[in-house]
Amino acid sequence: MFELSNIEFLYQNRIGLNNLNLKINDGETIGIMGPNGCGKSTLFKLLTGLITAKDGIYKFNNQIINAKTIKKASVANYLHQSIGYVFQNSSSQLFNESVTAELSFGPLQMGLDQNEINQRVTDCLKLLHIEHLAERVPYQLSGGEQKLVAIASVLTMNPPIIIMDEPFNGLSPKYQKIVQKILIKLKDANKTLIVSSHNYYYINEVIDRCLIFNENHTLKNDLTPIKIERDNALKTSLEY
Amino acid sequence: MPNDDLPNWLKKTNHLELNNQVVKNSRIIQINLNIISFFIKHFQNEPLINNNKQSAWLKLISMLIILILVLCSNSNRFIWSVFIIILLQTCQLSVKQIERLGHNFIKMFLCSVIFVIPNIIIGNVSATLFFIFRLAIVILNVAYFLQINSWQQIIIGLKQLHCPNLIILVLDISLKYIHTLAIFLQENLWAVRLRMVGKPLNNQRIIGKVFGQLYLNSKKYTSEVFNAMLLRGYKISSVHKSSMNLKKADYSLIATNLIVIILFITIGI
Repeated sequence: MFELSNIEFLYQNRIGLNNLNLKINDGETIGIMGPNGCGKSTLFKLLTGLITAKDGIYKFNNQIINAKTIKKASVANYLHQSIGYVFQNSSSQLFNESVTAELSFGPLQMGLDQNEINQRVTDCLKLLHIEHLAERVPYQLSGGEQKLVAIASVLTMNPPIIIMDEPFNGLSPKYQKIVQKILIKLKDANKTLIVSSHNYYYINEVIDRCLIFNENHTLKNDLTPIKIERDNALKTSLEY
Repeated sequence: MPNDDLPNWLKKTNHLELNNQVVKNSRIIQINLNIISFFIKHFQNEPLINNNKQSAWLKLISMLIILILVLCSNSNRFIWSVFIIILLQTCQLSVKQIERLGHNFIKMFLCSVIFVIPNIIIGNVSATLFFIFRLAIVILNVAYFLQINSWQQIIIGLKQLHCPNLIILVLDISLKYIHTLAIFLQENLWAVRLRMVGKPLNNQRIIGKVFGQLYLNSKKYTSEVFNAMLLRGYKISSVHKSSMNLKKADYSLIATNLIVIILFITIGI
């Protein structure tokens, strides 16, 4: 599914990603961890084609994604319809006049009929327990509520791959549990999930592999939860 | 008790195939994204400021003096003299700085000369050429000034010149937050692009929504920053006044200005 070889990404003269080699298979659930500014969000933007690597090869389902190919509308549409991305900063992800309009924007673009769209919107509001927000303006919501709306707006498009950048940030414990349960169910539904978090115990039940980045923007470890459980020092470093 | 099970449509995972048929995308979003990316890159460019030890206020005054005198003069000889003086000043810069100065000068000059060129056809050719030459010197002077000063130094210069605090505050916050807002706008446009699949968008409506969001968020950001400043004891009338002291390095700049003024009086009028 995702194949990255020798990926280098620079922000002007600052390193974003350093010699990244990575393979993610269909249906896998991946956790991404690492210190602040280590390149987690950069990796997500690269996977979604929002930015392109300076060096290296990125293949999505054998289709090369680079600055040239992403300009083709067919490739961009294919990538964006396949991947749903929840931004770290949800307030910049929401641009519609109401939560309902926000949730229906994606399915409307996909050309679904109105009944199907209404059904998806109602289901996602229920799933995330945010029915009471349906008619609210996204701009006026709190940070946590905006995060839930952003997650719901991605789910209504039902993409086979879902990328979430720190989905638990700003959520109350009640909603953290709700999102955790949803992630487990999405995994059971054979979706490919890539989730970043600063807290290993939010994602340990969901993930098949955990990718740990270091301060040098390099992939330090690619471990299974079983291996992490066995390594006490590592486990302690991921505990909060 | 709410049903926490995934709805049936969400349980289905449809793997899509790459469809090579021609799909029309909203070009306006991509064009705007390119502009914003260029803008952000420009702001992230670390200025190549040399270890210029001259006072910020004096550099500001010097730039204004040369600007005013060049604009007031009709003498070819005077403009040539100023040109040589600016070139001599430029020689003190590093190669990278000169490269960037040249690049900025060409961009600014081309943008402004477009408006003057029609006058060659409809007006006096020699007068227009003189006007273009004068314009080039003004732009070179501004480009040189921007090359040796960061925005922060310009703000300090304005403070030392006792410019109203409110103007300085607005300028300072705008310069700092324009970058933050550009990043916000870029993320907003990315969010649109990621969900822009299939149907062509109603461009005006989308752009309206995005700019509405930008306005609301900039309002929120600005008031949050101002409140944070107030909480940390900020008062519009600053307690610490910046003084206009002269340093050793300033005397060379004063001498240059005196030369320009004498040249203006003798050959410039």
